[in-house]
Amino acid sequence: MSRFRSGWIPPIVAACVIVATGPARGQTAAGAEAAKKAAAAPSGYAGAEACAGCHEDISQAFTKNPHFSLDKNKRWAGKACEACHGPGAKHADSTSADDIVNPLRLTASKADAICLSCHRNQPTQVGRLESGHARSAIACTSCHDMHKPGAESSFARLKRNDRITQLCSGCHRDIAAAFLKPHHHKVPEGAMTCTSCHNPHASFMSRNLRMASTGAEPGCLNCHSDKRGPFVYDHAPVRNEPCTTCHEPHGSVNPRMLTRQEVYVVCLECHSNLGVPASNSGTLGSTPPSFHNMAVPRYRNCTTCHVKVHGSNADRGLLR
Amino acid sequence: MKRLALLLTLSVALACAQDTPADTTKKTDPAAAQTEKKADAPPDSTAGQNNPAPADAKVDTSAAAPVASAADAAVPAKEKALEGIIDLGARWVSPVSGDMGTYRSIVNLASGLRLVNLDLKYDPSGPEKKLADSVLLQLHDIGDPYNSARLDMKKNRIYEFRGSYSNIAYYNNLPSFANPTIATTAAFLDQQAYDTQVRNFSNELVLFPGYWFQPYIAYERNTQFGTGISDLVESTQNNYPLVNLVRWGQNTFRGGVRIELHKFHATFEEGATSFKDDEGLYSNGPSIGDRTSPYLGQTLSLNDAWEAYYIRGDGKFTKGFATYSPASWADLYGQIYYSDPRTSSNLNQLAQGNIPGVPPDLAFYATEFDQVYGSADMPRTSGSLSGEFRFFNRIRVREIFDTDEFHSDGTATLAELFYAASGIVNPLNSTDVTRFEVVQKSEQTEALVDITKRLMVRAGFRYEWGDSLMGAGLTSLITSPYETGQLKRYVGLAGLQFRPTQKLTLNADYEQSNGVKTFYRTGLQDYLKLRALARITLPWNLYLNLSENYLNNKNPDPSSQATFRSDVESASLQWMPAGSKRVSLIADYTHSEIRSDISYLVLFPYSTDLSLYVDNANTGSLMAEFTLPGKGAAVPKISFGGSFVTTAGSRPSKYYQPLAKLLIPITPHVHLYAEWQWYELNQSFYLYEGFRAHTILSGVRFLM
Repeated sequence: MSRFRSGWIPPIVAACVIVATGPARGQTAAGAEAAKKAAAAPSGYAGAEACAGCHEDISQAFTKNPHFSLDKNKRWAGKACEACHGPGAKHADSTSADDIVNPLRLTASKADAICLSCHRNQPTQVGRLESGHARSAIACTSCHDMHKPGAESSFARLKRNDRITQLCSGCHRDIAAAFLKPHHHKVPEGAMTCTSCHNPHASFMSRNLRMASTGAEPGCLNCHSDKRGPFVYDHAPVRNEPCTTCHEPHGSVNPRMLTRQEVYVVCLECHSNLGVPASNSGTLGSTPPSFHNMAVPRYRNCTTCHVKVHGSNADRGLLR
Repeated sequence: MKRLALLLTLSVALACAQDTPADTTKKTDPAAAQTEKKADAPPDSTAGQNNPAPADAKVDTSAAAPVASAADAAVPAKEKALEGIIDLGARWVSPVSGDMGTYRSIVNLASGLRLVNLDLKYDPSGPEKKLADSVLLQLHDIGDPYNSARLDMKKNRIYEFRGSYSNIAYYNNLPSFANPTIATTAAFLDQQAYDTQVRNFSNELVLFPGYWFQPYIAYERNTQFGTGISDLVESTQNNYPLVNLVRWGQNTFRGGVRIELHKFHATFEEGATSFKDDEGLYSNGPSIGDRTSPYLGQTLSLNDAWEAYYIRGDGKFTKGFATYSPASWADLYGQIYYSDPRTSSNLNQLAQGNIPGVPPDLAFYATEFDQVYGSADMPRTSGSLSGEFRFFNRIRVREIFDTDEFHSDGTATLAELFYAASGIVNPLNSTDVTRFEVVQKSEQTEALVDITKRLMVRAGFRYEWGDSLMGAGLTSLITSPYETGQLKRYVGLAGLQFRPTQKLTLNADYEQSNGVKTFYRTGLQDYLKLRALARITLPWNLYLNLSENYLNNKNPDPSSQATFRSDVESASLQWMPAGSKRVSLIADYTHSEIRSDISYLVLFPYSTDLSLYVDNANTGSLMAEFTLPGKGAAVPKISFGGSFVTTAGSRPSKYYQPLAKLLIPITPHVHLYAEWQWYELNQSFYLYEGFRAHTILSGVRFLM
């Protein structure tokens, strides 16, 4: 059995070399660019009062947004708007939209760079590059707003289950549709929400699946910790395949939220008794014993006998 | 696919056609641009993204939530210390027509008084401010089978507490998940059933939020308890239903420290778990079990039985996270996890009746008593290292390396005693040792290029590899005590984001794999995955979302020849004329097709058959809201809609949930509301599992 082999070494070496040698030329991200501009021309700031002169409604709302706490920061006191929009003196003079940074008009990567200039080095961003949202260049501003006040701010809205579900289903319509099927996790009922299982910012697992609080295990175990084991007799795919191999977590017409109409069809997917024995084929999954005649209804009820299908401490056949 | 493409083309043309003049205005006058953007944006949009509300949302709290619009906020208002809403109501459920077990397994709502919603935010300004700057309390559906609560408290730069609780009824008594012929065959086939509660309780306290050094502690508890039905399997020859007492719970304690600096962040966490499972089973009287034919000329039966599990688990875990920005052009992220859960177990089992011996013992016994002692542990080390490097202004290169490695060791000792009616005792003792190992890694390189301000494309490559070893199953034991599996998969990655105007955004994600080995016969091997999403702002205050998800996997393992194909298309249309002041409409439609087949062996008569799964589903939802004429704050709202699901194929089903809501403001602080919903399920293969029921929820809403 191979251990870590040299798997860790290439990426570490690559990262060190890249960091040590530096970029081909002095390229900067948009956030850093904005910060550099600000540093180069400190007098380029107009101040929040000047912003409020034209954008009174936004400005008033912003004072009740959590981001307004920047106004208490030494660096941004009196110019909280320009923390994200960059120095605004030129824009204040010309009133031209071309003279101010508007994250909505930037590419997602540059808009994100502004947010990440403050939020990058926070626990929520660990594993950011592995998240589907980061890969697909879904900007922070797709879900978060910076100006809305109080209860309407994303900060407040995203503390409410129904609002989170509403926000996510805005794009993920196919998933929202799956929740309309009769058997589903209790998301439409409001007892859970999308972020109960998914971390929209970053993930170690595919599909932005949240981790279990106990380690590198799927977040499903946060609510189903009886499936965590370890068991004397593990059912292997429970350990190294996603739960979605057998279950459709968003919605199913099967009462146990299985990916197939009946349980035996799910089991057969791995325990199909044809061809090369599993021990020689390079895949896992042993064949059912010969007395399992699928033509007899009794043998289609796999979980009637194999009651501990997720793992057993007492029986190799998962019978008790 | 063709319909979707045609719709998309038309929509793009419309979106582009109407966007051109607006862009010119925006460039010349930022204030006008802002105003126009506000008018264009859907009411619930966040920074320009179109986020239609789901039509199946529960009681609409947004209408009554104490939300100040941007325009309202322009008028200075006195800050309120306490704000929020309280919904009190009463639910009435009509007598359920059809199968009550199905109704309870799916809907499970009952009549009675309810605290439907309590959502309060308290920002103290007096002496209480010494304790907290902000308190948020939420209670949802108290009295219903699915309820939740949340408490957040915060004192700026001193502490932040987040607590949550959920209590979800898990009632499931639908044997059809296993056998479609249960209603038509004479066989008595008992299946597992549950009438239980799953509860989660989670708390975290962070000290000194906002400072660079933040210690934190957390406690979580997850439990399930209740009753159910499970089975006792006797010598693999017959099985008998037993009453099941489900009782398990896990406590998790964890604590750590976060260090947040400008260029660097690190989190270190240590934790421990304790698990206990005291499941018990007992018989409710004599039973002949599921076997309908004699075994060796005798009828098997069970007069009495019980099983008692005593399972205890504990474990420690360690986590480490770090982010680092060594230069303006590079970001590094790392995470590592180590856990070592252990379990010890004891099972006592007694069965009395006509019990067959374990083959090759062909005798019959009156009593069987089993004791099984087991222990297992599973150390696991996992981690990832990733970095983004911006070599050029428009190019980002991402490198990701993941590793996951664990093994599980188990030991079980069985002491079995068979008592014959004559008094002869036949002991059977055995010891079993098990091992399961998995090593799995992946490395991914991807480049993202901003071709223009409006077009980003990306392309990359992922290599996944791994090894696995496990104890062989009963039949494979003949050839080898272990089974081994390998993983080797090459995956090509591509994607794009195209935003030609602010009114149109296209996202696409493409993966294609050439798999050499997979751990399982149905694993992703030679697959093609495509996801596409378009968000379009159309004229006449219409907002359109289109999405396509496609997956085609072929696993040419000679033993099964599994193939899988799914194709899901969704369209969502939102109409918000005049900022939804009078009317709004949200409609969704999703069509999905799934086809999967795998070969298997039928023994009598000996032949090969194809296990085919087909599911063609149409899902739709609608929510239309109208504001009725009224004066001042007393403006009633009525909304109606609902959803339908129809599936055809292996498990044809029809599920309808139409609904209507009425909200009548009496005063600015008191509203009355009522909601009607109808639930109907029909399944042509499982007619006995259909049901129909009305529910009416009515109550009063207090606004602070």
